[in-house]
Amino acid sequence: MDIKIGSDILQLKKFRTAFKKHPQKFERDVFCKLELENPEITHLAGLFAAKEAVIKALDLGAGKWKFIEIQNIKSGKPILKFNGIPQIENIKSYDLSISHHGDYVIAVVAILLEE
Amino acid sequence: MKTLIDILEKCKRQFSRAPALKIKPRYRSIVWTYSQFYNFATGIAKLLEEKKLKKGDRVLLWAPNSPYWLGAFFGCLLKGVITVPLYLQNRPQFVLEIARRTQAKLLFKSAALKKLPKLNLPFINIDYLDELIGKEHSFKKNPIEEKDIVQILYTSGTTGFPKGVVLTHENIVSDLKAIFNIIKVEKSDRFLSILPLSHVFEQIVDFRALAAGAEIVFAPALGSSIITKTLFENKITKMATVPEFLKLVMQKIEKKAPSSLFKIASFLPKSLQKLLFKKVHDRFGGKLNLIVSGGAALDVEVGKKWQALGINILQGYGLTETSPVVTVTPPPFKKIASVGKVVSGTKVKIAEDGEILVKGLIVFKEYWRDLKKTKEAFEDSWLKTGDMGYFDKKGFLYIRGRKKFMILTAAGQNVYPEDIEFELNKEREVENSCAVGLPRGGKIEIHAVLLGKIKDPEKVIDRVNKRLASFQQIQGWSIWPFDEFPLTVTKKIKRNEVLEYLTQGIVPEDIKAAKKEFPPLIEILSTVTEVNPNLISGETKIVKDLGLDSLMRIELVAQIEEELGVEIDEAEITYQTKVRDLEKLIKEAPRRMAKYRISSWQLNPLTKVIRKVLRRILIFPLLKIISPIEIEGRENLQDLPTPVIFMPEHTSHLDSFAVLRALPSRSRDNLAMATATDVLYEQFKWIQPLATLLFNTYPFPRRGQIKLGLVYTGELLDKNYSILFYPEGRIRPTEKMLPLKRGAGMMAVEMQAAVVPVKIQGTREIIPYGSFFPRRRGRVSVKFGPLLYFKKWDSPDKATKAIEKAIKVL
Repeated sequence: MDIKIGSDILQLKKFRTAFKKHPQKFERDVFCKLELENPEITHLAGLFAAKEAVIKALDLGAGKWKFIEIQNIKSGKPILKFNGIPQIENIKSYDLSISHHGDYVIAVVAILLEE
Repeated sequence: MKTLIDILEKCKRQFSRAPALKIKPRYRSIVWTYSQFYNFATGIAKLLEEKKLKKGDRVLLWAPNSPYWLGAFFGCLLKGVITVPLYLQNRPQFVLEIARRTQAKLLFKSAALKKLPKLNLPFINIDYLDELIGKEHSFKKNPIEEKDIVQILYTSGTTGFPKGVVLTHENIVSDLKAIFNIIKVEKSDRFLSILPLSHVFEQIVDFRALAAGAEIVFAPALGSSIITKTLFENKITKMATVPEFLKLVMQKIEKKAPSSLFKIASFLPKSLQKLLFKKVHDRFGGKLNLIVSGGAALDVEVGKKWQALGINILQGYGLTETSPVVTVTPPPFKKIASVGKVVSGTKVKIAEDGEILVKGLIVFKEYWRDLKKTKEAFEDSWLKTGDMGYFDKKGFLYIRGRKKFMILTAAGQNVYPEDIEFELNKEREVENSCAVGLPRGGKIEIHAVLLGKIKDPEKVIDRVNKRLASFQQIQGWSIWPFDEFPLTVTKKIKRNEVLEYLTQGIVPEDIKAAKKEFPPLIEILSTVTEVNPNLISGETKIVKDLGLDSLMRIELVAQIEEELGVEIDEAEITYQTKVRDLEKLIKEAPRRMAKYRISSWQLNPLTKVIRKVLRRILIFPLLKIISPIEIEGRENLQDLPTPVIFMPEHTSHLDSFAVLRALPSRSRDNLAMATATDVLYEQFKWIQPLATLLFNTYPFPRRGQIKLGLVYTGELLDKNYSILFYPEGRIRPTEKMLPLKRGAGMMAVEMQAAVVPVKIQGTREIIPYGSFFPRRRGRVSVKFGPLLYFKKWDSPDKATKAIEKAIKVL
């Protein structure tokens, strides 16, 4: 069994400032179209942290934001979609959790790879 | 010629259609002909009239050099309104005081100046007045006499508040006449104007250019790379500058050229010198033949090296109070240690103590409302220049230095700081130096202040003292603790401020205000990571040492893209990347970016003919078979101001053919088509040469390097090509129009060209989405909408919306 875990913590205030300064950059290079349907900053910050957690878990390297797409199922639970990263075809299972509190957002991901 | 207005009117009559003034602020060039220049000035005069300004009223002019600056200046002249030019770097408090002292009624300013002091003055952004060039404006003319005041110039004073030098038409015109035969100018000359026009030195050179019908080119900014680019692109022939600039540029040239080359060249005739230094000349555009140096003393060695390049260096001497030229080196400009001979019509004598005295029509009228200081400036109707000098036997003037900075030694001998600095600056480690007479223990000490990273100053002083005369020996020294000496606009050291610091510890205002400048990348890194820029060096590791997290990484690449116009991939910044590596990435980026460019063959006249023929015999007959075209709105294309930007909707690969067919031949023959780099220049690159031949396509990156697309678009518009640009960015997959790209509005605003919205119907049925070949025959209709004009200050987003609406309603 090969388990990969990743986590990320993000300060909302910092994210908001960065997003407001370069909205086009984020809209173009970080978030996918469906993700932007809910443009709330807290929501986007959660996604950002989750993406970063996945990048860390799989050691994807910088700038791979749009390869990871996150959607919420009805219950609000986030699910992952991978857009064309060859080295992660062997994902057996994963779980992702995002949490907000005050000015902070945290995301934790565990990914189970096939041996 | 009695007043400056005579020059303006003569120019308008003689050179009306010749280019007078030019600037390229961003993507498009602005070129005014002499009659447009005249029109602008009359427009300003009318504006002053509407604002109820009368002859003799004062107006502040606060803007960088540009056509608008000269236009506003001459507009004031036409109405007899007195201009008070300000320097860009003038501090708010200072401007406030000048406004109070001159009781100014209006401020002409550049739109770029946003932080204004509370002036309580109405202001006008002169660079928003482009429309004035369209026609001559009528206004009530006030008779203008020779003795009328042109301007009040506040020179950077040495003590207390600066004095306002009042110059009349007679002053300036007399000086202009005096240099007429020394600076020969042809109509074909192109001048570069980079010194501030708020200084009479640049003014007189520019007036000289105008009087000959030459063209004046302004640089959009004053960084050395932009100046070189402007020199190069415009094939500049003549310019005025300060010695400091000549020194800095020469240092760069010397890094590449061996010093022996200069020695050899100095014995050669001009034509061979130019050949020998062809590379240098090429970088400057290949036509530079005269540089007028003024404002401060030119280092003889530097001057000789410039002459060895085959470029004439003309040196002059003067003061703001003398409008400004008192002496110039006459052709063949060989005697470079001297500031030349006295200009005709002016008298100069040397007082008993060695001070240079001047008399003549070029001498200013007064200091603005300051009788006392005006009186003090004269001695028996001779102007006391405050400079010490002497004539040689042939009547050439040599400057020793400023009278008040002369050091009187205990032995009663006069020492000029300039002589000491001359020797100090020869030392390799000394970047700059300042010699002063420092009071110490009841005596005056000859004191050297050194700037630079100097390992062993004692040794430097010893070496220099060996070269100095016994009465000139440096007795004490100190290292200047700041990055630069306080400098005047012409880069002369403000000695009194240096002395004030030494004696009383008063830090000069300029230095207090000057924020240390860092390279742009360091500035960006510092803002993004909040690390003190002093701690960032080439060896700093970006991720590790600066704590760059993923959020900062996005900000960093976004900021680099916005400020430096370069796209970097986030993945290129790894854990190991040093600042130096990032610098390299940025430096190499333009080459990567400009992988695709406008080919020179595609604009060639021969290509144009072939293109035209191919369209006639190949494309249009074919098109006739597949899809007959109905054209609507052609009346909108009558009297089309060239060039324009056509913005059609995009539903099929047939669109470009259809629009081309529908255009009147004049527009069609001078059209360039913006095409997505990733499609035509990458995905289908095998067809690109053919497409370029038939459609005159040029690369337009769809993401990231949009700036490059704008640069190309500007170049083509400047060459009078209209542009075809699909604002949706791609062929729409469904019937529904895609939201327009923001670039559409940006293009309309930045390019300042009219936009023609175009509706296309029927092409989709013939060549459907995803297909390259016609599926069936059918009718196509192309409809041109009325022209849309946008102002410089319109927001790109609003413009985008307006264009979208205009296409939709067609």
